[in-house]
Amino acid sequence: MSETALLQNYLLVGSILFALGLTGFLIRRNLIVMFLCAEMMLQGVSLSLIAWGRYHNDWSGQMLVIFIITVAACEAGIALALVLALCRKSGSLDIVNWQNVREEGRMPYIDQEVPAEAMESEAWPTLTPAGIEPATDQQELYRSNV
Amino acid sequence: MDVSSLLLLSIALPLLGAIFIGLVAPGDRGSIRTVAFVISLMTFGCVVAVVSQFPTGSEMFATKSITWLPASTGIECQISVGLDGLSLWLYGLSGLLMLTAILVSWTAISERPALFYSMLLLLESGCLGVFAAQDLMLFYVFFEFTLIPLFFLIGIWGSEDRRYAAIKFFLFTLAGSLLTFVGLITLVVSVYNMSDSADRILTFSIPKLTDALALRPLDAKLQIWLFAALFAGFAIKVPLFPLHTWLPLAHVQAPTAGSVILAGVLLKIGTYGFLRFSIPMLPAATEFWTPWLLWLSVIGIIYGALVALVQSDIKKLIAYSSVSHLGFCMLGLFALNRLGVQGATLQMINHGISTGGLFALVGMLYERYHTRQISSYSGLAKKLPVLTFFMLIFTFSSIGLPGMNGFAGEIMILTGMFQKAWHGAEAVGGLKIVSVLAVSGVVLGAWYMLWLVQRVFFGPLVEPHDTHDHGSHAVHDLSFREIAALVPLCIFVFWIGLYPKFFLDRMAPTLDKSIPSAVANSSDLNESVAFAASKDRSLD
Amino acid sequence: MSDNLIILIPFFPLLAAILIAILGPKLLKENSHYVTVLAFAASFVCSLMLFFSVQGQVVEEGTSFESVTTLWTWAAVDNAMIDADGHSVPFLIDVTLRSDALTSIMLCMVTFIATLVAIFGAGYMHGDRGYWRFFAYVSLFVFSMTMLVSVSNFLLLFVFWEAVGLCSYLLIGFWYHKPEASAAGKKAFLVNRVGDFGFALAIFLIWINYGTLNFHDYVVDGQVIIPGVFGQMRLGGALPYVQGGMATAICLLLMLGACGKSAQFPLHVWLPDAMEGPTPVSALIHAATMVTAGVYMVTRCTPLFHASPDAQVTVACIGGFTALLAGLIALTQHDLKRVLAYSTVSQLGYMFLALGTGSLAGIVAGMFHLFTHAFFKALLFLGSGSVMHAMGNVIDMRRFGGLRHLMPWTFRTFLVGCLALAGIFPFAGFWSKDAILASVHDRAYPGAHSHDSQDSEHDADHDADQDADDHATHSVALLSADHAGSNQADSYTNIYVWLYRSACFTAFLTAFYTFRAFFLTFYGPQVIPDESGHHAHESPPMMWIPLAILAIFAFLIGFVSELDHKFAHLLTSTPSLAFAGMHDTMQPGGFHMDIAISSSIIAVLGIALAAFLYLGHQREVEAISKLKLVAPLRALSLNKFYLDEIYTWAVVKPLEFLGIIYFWLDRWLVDGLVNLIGKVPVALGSGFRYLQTGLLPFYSLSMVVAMLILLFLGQVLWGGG
Repeated sequence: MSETALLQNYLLVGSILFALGLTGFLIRRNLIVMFLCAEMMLQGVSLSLIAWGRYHNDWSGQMLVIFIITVAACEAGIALALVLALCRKSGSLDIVNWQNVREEGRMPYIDQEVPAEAMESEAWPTLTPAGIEPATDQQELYRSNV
Repeated sequence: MDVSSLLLLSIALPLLGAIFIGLVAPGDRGSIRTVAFVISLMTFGCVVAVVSQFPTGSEMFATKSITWLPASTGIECQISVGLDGLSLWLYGLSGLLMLTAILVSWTAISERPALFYSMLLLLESGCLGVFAAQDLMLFYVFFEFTLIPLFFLIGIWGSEDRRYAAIKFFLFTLAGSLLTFVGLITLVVSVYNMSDSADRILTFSIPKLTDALALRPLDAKLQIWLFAALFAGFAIKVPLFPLHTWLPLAHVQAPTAGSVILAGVLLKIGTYGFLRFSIPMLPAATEFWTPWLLWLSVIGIIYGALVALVQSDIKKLIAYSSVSHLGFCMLGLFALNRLGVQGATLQMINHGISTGGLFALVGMLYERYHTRQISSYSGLAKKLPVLTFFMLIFTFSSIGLPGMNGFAGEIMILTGMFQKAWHGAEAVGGLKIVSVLAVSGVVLGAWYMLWLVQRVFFGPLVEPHDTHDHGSHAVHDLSFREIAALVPLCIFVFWIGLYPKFFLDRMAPTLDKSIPSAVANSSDLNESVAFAASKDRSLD
Repeated sequence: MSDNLIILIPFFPLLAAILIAILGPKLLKENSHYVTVLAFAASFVCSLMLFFSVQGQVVEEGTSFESVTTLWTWAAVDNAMIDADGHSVPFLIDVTLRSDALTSIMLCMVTFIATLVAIFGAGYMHGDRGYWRFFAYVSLFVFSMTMLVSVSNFLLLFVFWEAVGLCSYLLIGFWYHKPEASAAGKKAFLVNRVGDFGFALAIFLIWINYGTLNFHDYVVDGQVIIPGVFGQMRLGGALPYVQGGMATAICLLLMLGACGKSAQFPLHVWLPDAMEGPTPVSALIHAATMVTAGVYMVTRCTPLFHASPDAQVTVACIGGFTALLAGLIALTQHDLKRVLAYSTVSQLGYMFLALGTGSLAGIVAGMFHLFTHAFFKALLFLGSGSVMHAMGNVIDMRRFGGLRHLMPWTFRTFLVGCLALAGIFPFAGFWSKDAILASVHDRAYPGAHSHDSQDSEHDADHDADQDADDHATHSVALLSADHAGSNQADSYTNIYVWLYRSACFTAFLTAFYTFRAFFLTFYGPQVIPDESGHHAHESPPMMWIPLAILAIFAFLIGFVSELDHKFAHLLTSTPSLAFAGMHDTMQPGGFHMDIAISSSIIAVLGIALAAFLYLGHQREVEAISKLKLVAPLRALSLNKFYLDEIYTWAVVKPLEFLGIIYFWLDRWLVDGLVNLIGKVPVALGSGFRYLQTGLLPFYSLSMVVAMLILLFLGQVLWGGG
């Protein structure tokens, strides 16, 4: 496999990682998930850096990655501590709980009504009598809590 | 200890003192103010030691440079200090006025004294530094640095409207000085670009920049823009009409010490800036802008005087009188001849002394009666004869009565202005009007000051009611401490008034260098040297 | 010798001022006057010695004498200006004193009167709260005044010009708790400042045109380095004086300064108000000495005025008009001191009228009148002070009368003063007023001059000078034809004719109002106001003895000075008067018998009219003042021609109004613009702040979108990079 093709493959994987991370970061509201997504973006970038380093045949890419890992470790420590603190304070990991740091006069974002959680008994799929429509809403059954 | 170390020490001492008071000082007011006073007294000692060793001449004196950025960066930016004839007296004035400022705050400040005095000392450090700085970056650092302590002084210890005044003062001056910064950096870079030698470096050294620009001036168009940029910061500081509106507000709201320093020292940074940077470094632009500046100055003189005339608040009246007086300074500077520039530099000192004294006196009055309204006073001369005595001295000094300092400066400025407007080839019609209008400012100046004195100190005795509410304590005349705060200023009022030559001789060589266009040609110069020599002989 | 004297003369009063200022409040208190009187007396002795030494130095007529003493250099700026010849000149101000005839005469006069006034003041001010303060101020004033007449530099002249103004301010407002007094002090200072404005402008113009402000030549090693404005080089004709419009401008501006200090129209309004000060001050400052500074200055600047006939005629017109105006106002005033104040203004106008003739005779006459006037006006003021003292500070003539038996000494001395002021032979005023009228007459009727000389032939006193006079007459007649500038001057002859008539009429007014005041005060039924209390008797000897001494001088001084033209001969040795151009104009004027007789008749008529109206029941006065024609005129005079009101509404109020407008503009327009600029970021911010949702996903999304846009722009617009 040529060097270029190798590079391309690595870069492809790196960018997929980055894109996944970015998408996750943008659409998820769970603090920990968002943090993990951010880490994933970081890994995507690191991967491409290493690939570039290998391609140019020097150490600077790897050096940077080591830097990134170090910094990311620190960052993770601080970030998780913050997440923990925030979670304790609001009792939830939902980022929207912290939207009150907004301009005065701006209407708050309110979630559309989240239905009450299904009872555990109702949560399990039950065999339905043939020919009869299922009683419970399937969508609700498999919905994540967050 | 050599003199340059003393110079550095005089700047560092208040800084260290401020840190000491702010962090580790004892908590009670009595010891804090004593410590602050002792520190400023020691600083003043250093200042006097430095100033007294100044040799007459145009050479930079007491220079010291500490490398800040290594030479390998290609940037010459140093912690570099030194004095010359231009900065010498302003530097001395800063040290002197700080003593007055601390003495007048002695009993007036009871809230958070540690913070107050450390701010005052920080301010002193900034004021001394800005005049001693010989590096452009250092100058700018000190230039901005003076803002911060004063911002807090006004904002925390000011009167009713202090927050608004503090923010206005801060933003107004900051906005201007940012433009100045852009101008200064552009200046430095243009000098760098202009040089074509191989080992050129980006220098921030003021003397080197001045020399380089005297040798090879910048392109005239660039100069005009640079001048405008520098103008923004300096003219706001001065303050030149119509950029003066922050001043009355800041003065009225500031605590007495703040007013004294603001009027006495900070305003001078603007005129100092013009004379240090704009005029010698940008000669073509100076020529271009001079008529405009002269008109603005004279409008400021008349306008300030007339507005002062109708004030009902003593402090505001004196603040507007500053606008008028600084107009005289600017007029002298941009007369651009020896008489005018020397007169203007002398007038900077004079204004610092007399207006500083006036603000101190108003502060003393305020401390006694808690009002600044002219209409609530009358006939105080009967009750407070000593205060009235000092008030009269500073009033007469301020209106330029001969024998006192104001006269020496004003007469030289006006003579210089007349020379510019009426003499020889450069005589211009518009400037003749300027010169005559400027003289009429002297009449108006006497009017508002004497009217103030008449209303407040003469006539039948009327005291504000406020004191009766406070009841028990009777109003006393000036204490020993207050007299001690004023007497040094009085000494200079008469010293400069009776023997201005002492001061002029020390500033003349430097100032002559900074106005190259006005110096007589070299053959005459020799003749004048011979003249000076014969003069000395005849005096012996 | 004279070097030391000229230093000592101002030194003693300065020392007294400092001593009293330091020791007065605690130590000297009621004894402060000893210091002052001693110092003034010492100064007077020195002045006399200086006077005789100067007189000794003036060897013969027509030569000038001056001696210059430099104390220290006030300011020096090398290469301050490049003059017309391309030389660079330094701005050099030395503190230099000069002794010459003019100075020594002024010094003698000032110190003599000051001594007497100080003695009088010790009695008058007895028991005042500010006793020591009074003497400190007076000493300071005498110091300033002696310096004023002895400095040899325009700038220093200006310095002491203002310094005497300061003392005047302090002394007018001496009783500062009286609102009128402090207002009058302020008014005096400000009106003087207006004059000083002109003076300062004149100084600047002199500097630009002459390249120096010194009177004398600046000499090093016998070589003139900077020729002074009135130095020998210029006076001798080696260097020209500026001519034309610039000369006129300089002179008119100087005259504006003189108008301020010497209370001439239009700046005379401060002097009557200045009577709020203690009466000895009125006598010393506002009658005898300070107000004559303008006359002194114009005399000193004779060479400058000589270059401009226009300026001279202006000076004469101002003088003549002021004399008339003040005389008219004085007719109806009720306040004794105000009558005297207006008479001072009027007499000063006389002096300027004489100076305005531009002839040597006129200038000598003006100075002579200054000299004699000082004695009798000081006498009159001190006399009025004595009256005031006895009447418990009441000075309104309607409230007292018939005091001649009550205060015999005051009465007698006052009478001498009145006779001198009215110009009755042989009192001092007669001689000097006659000299003025004669000089104006000469100027108005150049042809009549020889006729006058013939008249004076009969005068026994003039044998010695007759030849010289005749000779001068002829030379003048010849010279006036081809003398440069005299053609133009001749076109003014008509003006001088009118000025002469008005001066004669003023002489009549003077005699009338003087004796009106005299009769009202000392004749008629004895009336004493309630305020006088136990004071209603003759003043103590400390007060009336100075009056008696002054009365003797008021009687004799004119006659003695006129003997052998002593005064004129000495005065013409002053450098400013002894310059080449001046010798050509005229010799010191002779004594004109016809003018003397006519002016005496006019004066006697004035006295007679005053006696007719004011001795007895004054029914006629009431009748006349009720006449339809007279009543409005009387109101005009009584209200000082409404000049104060005119100034208030034409100058003071508009300026204050302008100040209010400016202040309003300052707050709303200038500061408004500043605040508007401050509002721009706020306005922008209030729009953008709604983007601040507080939602992290929104922020991150906008970040990504912005990033994409930037990348896109970078790619598309700048082709990547």
